[in-house]
Amino acid sequence: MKRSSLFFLLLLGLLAPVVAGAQESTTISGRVTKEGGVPVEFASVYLDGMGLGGQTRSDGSYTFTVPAARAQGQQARLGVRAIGLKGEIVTIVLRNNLVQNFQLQVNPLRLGEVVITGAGTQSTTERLGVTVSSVKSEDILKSNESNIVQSLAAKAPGVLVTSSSGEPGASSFIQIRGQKSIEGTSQPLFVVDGIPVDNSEIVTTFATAGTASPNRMMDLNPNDVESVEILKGAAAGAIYGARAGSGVILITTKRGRPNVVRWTARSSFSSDEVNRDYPLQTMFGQGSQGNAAVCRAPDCRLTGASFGPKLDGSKPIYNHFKEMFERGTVIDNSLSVSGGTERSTFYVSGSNNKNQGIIVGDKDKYQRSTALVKGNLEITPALRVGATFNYSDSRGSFIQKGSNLSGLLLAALRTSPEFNNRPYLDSLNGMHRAYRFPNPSVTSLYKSRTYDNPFFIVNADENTSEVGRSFGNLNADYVPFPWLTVKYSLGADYSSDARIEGLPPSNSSEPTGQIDRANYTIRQFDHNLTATAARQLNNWANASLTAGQNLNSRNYKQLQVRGKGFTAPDLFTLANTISSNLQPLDYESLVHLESYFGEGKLDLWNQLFLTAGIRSDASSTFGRNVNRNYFPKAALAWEFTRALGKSNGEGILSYGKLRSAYGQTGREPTVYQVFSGYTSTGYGDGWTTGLNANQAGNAALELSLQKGQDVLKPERNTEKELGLDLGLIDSKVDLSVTYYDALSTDVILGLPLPPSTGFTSQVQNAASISNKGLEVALNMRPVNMPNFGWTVGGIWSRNRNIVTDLRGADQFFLGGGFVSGIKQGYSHGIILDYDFARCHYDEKNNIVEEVDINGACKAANAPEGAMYIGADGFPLFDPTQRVVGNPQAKWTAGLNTNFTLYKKLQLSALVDIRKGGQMWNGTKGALFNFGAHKDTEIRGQKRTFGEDWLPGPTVGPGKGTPVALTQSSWFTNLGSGFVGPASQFVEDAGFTRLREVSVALNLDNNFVQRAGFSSMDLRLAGRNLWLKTDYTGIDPETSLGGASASRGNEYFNNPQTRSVIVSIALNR
Amino acid sequence: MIRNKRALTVGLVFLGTACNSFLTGDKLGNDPNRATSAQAAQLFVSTQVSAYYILTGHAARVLAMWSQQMAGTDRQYIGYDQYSVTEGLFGEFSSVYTGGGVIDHHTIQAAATASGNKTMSGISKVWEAMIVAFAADNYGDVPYTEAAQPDKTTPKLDAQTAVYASLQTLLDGAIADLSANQGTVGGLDLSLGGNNAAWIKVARTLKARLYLHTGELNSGAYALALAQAQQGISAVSGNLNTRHSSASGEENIWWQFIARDRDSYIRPGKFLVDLMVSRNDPRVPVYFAKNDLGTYGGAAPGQGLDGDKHSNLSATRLVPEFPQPLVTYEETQAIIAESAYRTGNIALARTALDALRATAGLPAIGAGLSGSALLKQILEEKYIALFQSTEVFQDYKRTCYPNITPATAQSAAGIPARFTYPVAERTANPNIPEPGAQPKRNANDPVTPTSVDGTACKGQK
Repeated sequence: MKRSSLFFLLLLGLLAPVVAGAQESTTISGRVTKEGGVPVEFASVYLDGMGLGGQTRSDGSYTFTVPAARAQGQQARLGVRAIGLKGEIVTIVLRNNLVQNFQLQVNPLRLGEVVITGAGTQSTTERLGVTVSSVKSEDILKSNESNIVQSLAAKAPGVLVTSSSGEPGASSFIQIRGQKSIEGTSQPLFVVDGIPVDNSEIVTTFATAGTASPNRMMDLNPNDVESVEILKGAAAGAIYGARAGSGVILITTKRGRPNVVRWTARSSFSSDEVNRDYPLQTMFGQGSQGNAAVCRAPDCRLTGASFGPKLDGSKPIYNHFKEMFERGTVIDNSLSVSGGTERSTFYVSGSNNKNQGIIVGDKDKYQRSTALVKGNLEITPALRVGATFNYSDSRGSFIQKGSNLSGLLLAALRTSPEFNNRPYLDSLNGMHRAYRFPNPSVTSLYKSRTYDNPFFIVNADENTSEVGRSFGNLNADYVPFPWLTVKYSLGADYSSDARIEGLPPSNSSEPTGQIDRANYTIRQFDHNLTATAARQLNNWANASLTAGQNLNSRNYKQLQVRGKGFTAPDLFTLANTISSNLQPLDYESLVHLESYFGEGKLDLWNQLFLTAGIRSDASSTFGRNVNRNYFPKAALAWEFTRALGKSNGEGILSYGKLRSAYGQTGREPTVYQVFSGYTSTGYGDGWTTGLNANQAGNAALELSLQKGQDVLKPERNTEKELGLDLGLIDSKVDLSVTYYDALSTDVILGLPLPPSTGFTSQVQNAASISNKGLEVALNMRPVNMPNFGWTVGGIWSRNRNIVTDLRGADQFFLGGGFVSGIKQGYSHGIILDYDFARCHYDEKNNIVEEVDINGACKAANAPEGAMYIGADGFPLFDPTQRVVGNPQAKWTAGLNTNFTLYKKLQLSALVDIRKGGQMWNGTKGALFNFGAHKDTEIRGQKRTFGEDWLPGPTVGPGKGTPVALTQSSWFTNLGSGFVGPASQFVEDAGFTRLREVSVALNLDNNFVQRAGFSSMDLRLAGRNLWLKTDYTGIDPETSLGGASASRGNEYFNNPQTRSVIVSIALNR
Repeated sequence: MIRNKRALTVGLVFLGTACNSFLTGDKLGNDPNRATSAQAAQLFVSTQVSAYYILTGHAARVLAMWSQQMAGTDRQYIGYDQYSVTEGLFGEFSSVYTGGGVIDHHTIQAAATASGNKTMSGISKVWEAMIVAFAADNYGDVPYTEAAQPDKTTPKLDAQTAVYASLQTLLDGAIADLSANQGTVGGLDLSLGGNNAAWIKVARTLKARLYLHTGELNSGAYALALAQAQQGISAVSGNLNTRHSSASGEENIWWQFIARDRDSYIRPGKFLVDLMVSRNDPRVPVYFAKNDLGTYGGAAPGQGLDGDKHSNLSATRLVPEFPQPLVTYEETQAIIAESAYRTGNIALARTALDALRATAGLPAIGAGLSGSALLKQILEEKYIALFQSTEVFQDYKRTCYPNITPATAQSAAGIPARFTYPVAERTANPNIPEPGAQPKRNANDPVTPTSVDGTACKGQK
């Protein structure tokens, strides 16, 4: 009987529009605004229980039609909901041309809002016992970043975002609550509309050389993003089990709403420039020991050093940094149309982003075009289906950088100040000329230039990427019974990246010419099925239970061939190389993950919210003797202000919630790590390209350096968190504080084996890493007047990371950097290199060059860490590798403020602060060696170690003795980045950065509306306009190895940019 | 009824999507990118390439700088030339043992013996002896008896003398295998084309070389060295050289380093160039090219590159195909000459000296020499003839001749007499002492070095 009434209702619902069409309908309209009178866009206005409603436009107005037959004279409840604002509901009497305006109050803690919690589950904010940071569409657009990952910078506490350089298409690195893995990625799992998608960064040749490369989330158009939820802790991420070890980022794209067709056209123009100058010396010319380098014959090779004679001013001086940069631009155009009927909605968008980078020439650019189509259809009230399809086409062109004889800044900054790098081709014979090879002969086409001319690098090299990416899903929601919801989604993600990395003949890396031609294909399929049963147990208890299954398949294919020896000098094809020199670098991997999960929720007295769940994973990457792994979680939230009888959001303590959570997440082992085998990789010593294993046509194999492992499990991250959310002073202030304590165990480590065993490493679940931290978010709305509103807020977080156990391994290096390593008892990614001999009282064998350093220290009663100065007045090189720096920040903070004037004008700013954290300024070390750095202008002058050179406490017979710092006594000796210890080039990389500042004007006056638009937004914004730092290198925010775990490495990285942006958006 | 159907549908969807074989199958249960087994022949090729790299790569370049045959003229190489060498360096140590090294030699020798290919086994043993000797020469005590054994996770250090003794036994085994003439390797033998007789002679010269290394400890070793050298390589055509070609990945490593990858880093050393120019040595244009001023000149340690002063390697040697000598007739004659001299057979010493000089087209002078002048001449000829060989530095440590002046540096510790154990081995193997606790000199080196010219050794203290 109950069922047939359902059917009847359904029938009525289906017929209703038809019936209504025959009679006169009625419209309801109005305007939704928030404090300061600012219009609210995307607010949903609905008639409660009637399935009717509409959405506000950018001017806050809404209109929808009610069929007369259903409405006339009837009493109804009209409600409005909007993200970040408190919903309101009023009782009205339906009549024709009803106008109902709403002024919504802010809802800083987002109470009552639905939050997506992953794998098809959702919750409301107040029920969450875990921390979920949300970033709204508006804040993403404000950042003016075309990379969605970069747009999250300084938006949420505990989330660290670092861009690897300011080049178009360069990756951004994101890390949530500290580094938890050693050899694996620290990048969180990205999920778009419920489907895990790829965010990998593929490096064509070398992370520390080669070119910048994109992280694949860059394929998403930020204009299409409605909201981003960051699942930070293990309890929040546990539903993704072995994939959530580094956190999860859930992205929801925009969708259409019933009853209103809206469109938005947005255009922005950004003008970019390099954000800092670089200190280069301009007093001394090319040469050595004060003698000028003289070229006497064609194809002469000169010293790279600028230790020549003092320049007398007769020759012009060039700024070899600034001359490599010009004004760059970003032009972004996007259009979206959305809307629908009661039963079907759609969202369609298209965009084009064209970024011309700041490096001179036309080869530093990235262009992305995207399309998104989304549709939802209610087939029956019990069954809704939807489909989403994203496509993006990206084309990038990059510039060689880093530790690379053909790298831009390596070549540019080492050039002697009086050498003119222009023209880069010899004016007589058209050959590539460079400062160490200034007089090329006609026959020099296949000769190295030692370093390429930087203008040759930016003009003649060919480094491109062409990506086609599509991802999307089919989904269905089925409600067979009122208490049961079944959700299904089938997603796919496919990208194909065609790369060329080509260096034409006469380049210094491979003088005969070299091309890497590669195709990377990434495929992912994801099947996710959940069933949720919900039941009201009695009037004070509600319960729900979810069960789910997830199958995931990831496939990576790399087809890459390197060719050497160009026939035609400027044709970048493999066919143009000598065929016997082709080197294939093909690779493939496949990972399958089969998971089941369950989650139960219990709400008691509408103030105590309990969640508990478990996920079980089995992956093809686990060792053959490892079965399923389980990841449990539990969370409790208590809205204690309700227990105090308070629910109206008023008073000094307007709202209060206490939450605590426990959970586990994991990280799958890297694919194929469990197997050992034979390879044919060949031999190199790092200084040369090396020898192939196959020689003279004979096939060759050698045993892999890594020993196989049958008992490899996923890494496991166990995290407890405790938090407090408060609304204060009539909800004018909100404060959220979270403490977490995470211990990652079974962290996979290629545990070094002594090479004398025949292997260099074996993977083990060996290491443990602890992350403990505190996160604070504070928002205040001190002024809320009709024509003036002011908000100010901040986030602050600190994370203490310690590698607590390395299972006896002493230390080792991380890939993607030169000096990044791991050592037990220290933070992850510490800078590991050499230092000068110092007092280390806790070390037994502190003997350097036969001097008992500790003995000398004791005799002089020198402090720990005092630098030993030999009798000649110079420090000694300590040959023991040790920790010389830590790139992890002491704390990070973001401060934002926003002024609203006369409802139309908004001023806002975001300041990003990173306190502490060190960087190895490898660029400086190298430029010391070449006498090209500004600081080497003191050459020949006397300095005293510990006083006016490398200041700090000293000990030893030469203490206080001034010595002449000359080319050979210091700058190409222990003061050189190539010879001396790296410790002297480790600098504090803390900064304060004005990341965003903007003025926005929202116009919805008659003039705009007469032109056919509902509103127009004009914005003038600045990105990265101001930077304060003690760091003397390229930028404290940079990463040599891109989005790798090696942070704090600078070695001729390409620089960052600052921008001024104007944008206009037209809405209808 | 319908309610049951719906429940059934929901249940079926769950069941239908669970499949048993989702985690197994091709590319899931195996690595599609790597072979799971290798044939002895494939390992055999790879081990030779690995040995080329160990013996003519980075370590060889540093040793050539320390013996002042070459000089570092740019960046890190200026530092290495001034003995700024840390425990972070020299991947060659690792290569001695890992894939392509001892562990694969063990597999080859077992498989070749099982299949009756004693030729392959014998050649593999000679290569193994050469690379392990490289480790013992430059590091002193090294893991060997427990190295590359599946059940040993922290191999102990064997005394250098014990390692040399083991290698003598290994080479005896190689000679026995090669003498059996069972099985062929043909073109898989990159250097000598599977010529058993030639390999036996290489093994003999190698035995002689290793005996010579222990001469300071055991004066009887010279007689043993002499006996082996006399059965050693008997003509330049029997030299063991690396094999290279102009194909990518097959080029001479010195060529790769200087002509392609790091062209400004290293140049011929001033001491050697001056010595050879002063002797009017016919090998000057064979070894060196002229500098920008059209003369021959070398770089002193610690100087930056100066095209006016510094010669490069000659067009003869600086080509991708150049076969780098490893064990030669020249070395054999030098060993005969020295060990004959040290065992009192002056006539033989003179004959061998003249035979050595004859390889370079130099006239005989042995008859006019005796005493320490004869020994000095022998060592000088060897110093020049073995240009770029790692053996030059071993002779230097043993004889301090030529008595080169160390690079000017802040430290007065002189030229290092050994490499520090690599950090990768030290940190993973508790048997390796901390750098500060490692010996300064190896067991086979003289305790108080004196140059054979009778003066104090300038570089070894």
